[in-house]
Formats: sequence, C-alpha cells, structure tokens
Amino acid sequence: MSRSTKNSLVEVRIPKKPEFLRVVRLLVSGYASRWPISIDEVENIKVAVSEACNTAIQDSCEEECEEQIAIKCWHEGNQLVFEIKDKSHKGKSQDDIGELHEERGLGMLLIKTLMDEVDSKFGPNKGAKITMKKNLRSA
Amino acid sequence: MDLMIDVKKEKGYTLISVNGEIDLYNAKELKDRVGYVCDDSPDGGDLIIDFKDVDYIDSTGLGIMIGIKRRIAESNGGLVLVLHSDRINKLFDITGLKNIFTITRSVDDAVAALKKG
Repeated sequence: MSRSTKNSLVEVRIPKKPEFLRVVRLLVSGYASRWPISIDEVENIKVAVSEACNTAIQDSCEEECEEQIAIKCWHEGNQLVFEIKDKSHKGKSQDDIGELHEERGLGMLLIKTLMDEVDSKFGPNKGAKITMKKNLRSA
Repeated sequence: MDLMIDVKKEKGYTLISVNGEIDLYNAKELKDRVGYVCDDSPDGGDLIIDFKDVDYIDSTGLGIMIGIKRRIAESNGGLVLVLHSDRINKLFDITGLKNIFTITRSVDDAVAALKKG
C-alpha cells in the first residue's frame, strides 16, 4: 500500500445487518465529498457501495447473525477506491447471485453502471470481495 | 429518514405516498402495506404510488416494485409511479424498469394516465 493510500485510508466494520446500511451510506458520502467530485457522482458511489453491502447481507445472514462486513475507502492516483469484504460469504458465485433473486441482479447492474471499474470475487470458503473505483475530476 | 407510507382511497384509485429511504432494511414494510391495499381491492383497483420525498431506493425496493407491478397486473388493475426526483428516475432508467412501468412526474399526470388506460 502506497504512502498516499495509507494517508487516505478509512476502514469501518459493520454488523452484517440491514439496519446498518444507512451508516455505510453516510460514511461513503462523507468520504467521497472530501474529494473533487460532483454531488451526482457522490450519489452514484453511495448507491453502489450500499448495493455491494446488500449482496453481503442477503448472502446468508439470519437475524442472530454476528458476522461483520469490512468497508475500506482510499484514494489512489486519480481514483477513489471502495472495497467491501465479507469473510463469511457462503460462496455463491456472481452468476448465482443474479439468478437467486431479481433484485440481486439489479444490484450488480447498478454497481457496474454507476462505478468506473468493478472487480468482484466470490468463492466457496473464500468469502466475497467487491472492489469499486471512481475516477476523480482532473484538476 | 425513516420510511413513511400514507394510504388514501380516492375516487377510482388508491394513492400511496411514500417518504424517506427505501432499502433492504425497510422495503418489506412497503411491500406489506401495498399488499394490504391489493387485498382490499381483489377485483383490480388502480394504484398510484407517489415517491413524494423518496431520496433513496435500492435494488430491494426496485425488486419489490416489480412484484407489485405483477400483482396488480394479475388482478387487471392499473399502476402508475410518480417519480419526482431525477436521481430515482435515473435508477429506473439504468435498470430498464422505465420500460415496464408507467411513470409520471405528478399525481395529476398519473390520474390522467390511469384514465387513458
């Protein structure tokens, strides 16, 4: 991790429960607003990161779930990077997620449309990681 | 902002006004409220859902709207969505849902759309 990345890194863990999604949206919009980026793009990031958390929460969590999701935000070059990591993901593939429920397919569609770069990794016993990048306005 | 749902029976249609954020946490509340309205008019009442002060909707909320659309269609009712915000309109656009819903910018336009069929 480069020095500038370390200097800009914010990491938060939330319980894997839907009532904490609003906390994530507040965090992400606050973080993104700190950089040269339009309000519209901040809103796009907010939707995409919240959808990535939805994917993790919908994956497996029951009411008594004690698992957590890690959300990292950092600045790298001319981009903002947002990483959503769910260590306890049950290993459903990206395709499965789209097929399981209509809204999960819609969620991935929104993430891919609203962000500039998206990389998602899902694997049995490997957890899930979605990394999303948003280009900043050039000065 | 918490989700607030107001249901009003008007002449010829039911108006459901929604305020707040619709996400995985509270989308079921919207589904249940609309479900009760549909149960009350099994013979196909028309429905307008006014996203008056909705400033956020996620894929769960969008998925629920698809379910509502199906349910209303099965009972031969009409459904019109009133989307005031550009942001919410954009999400319906990206997901292609603009093509399957009748969407207007005001309740008056929604009533006119229902009359038109």
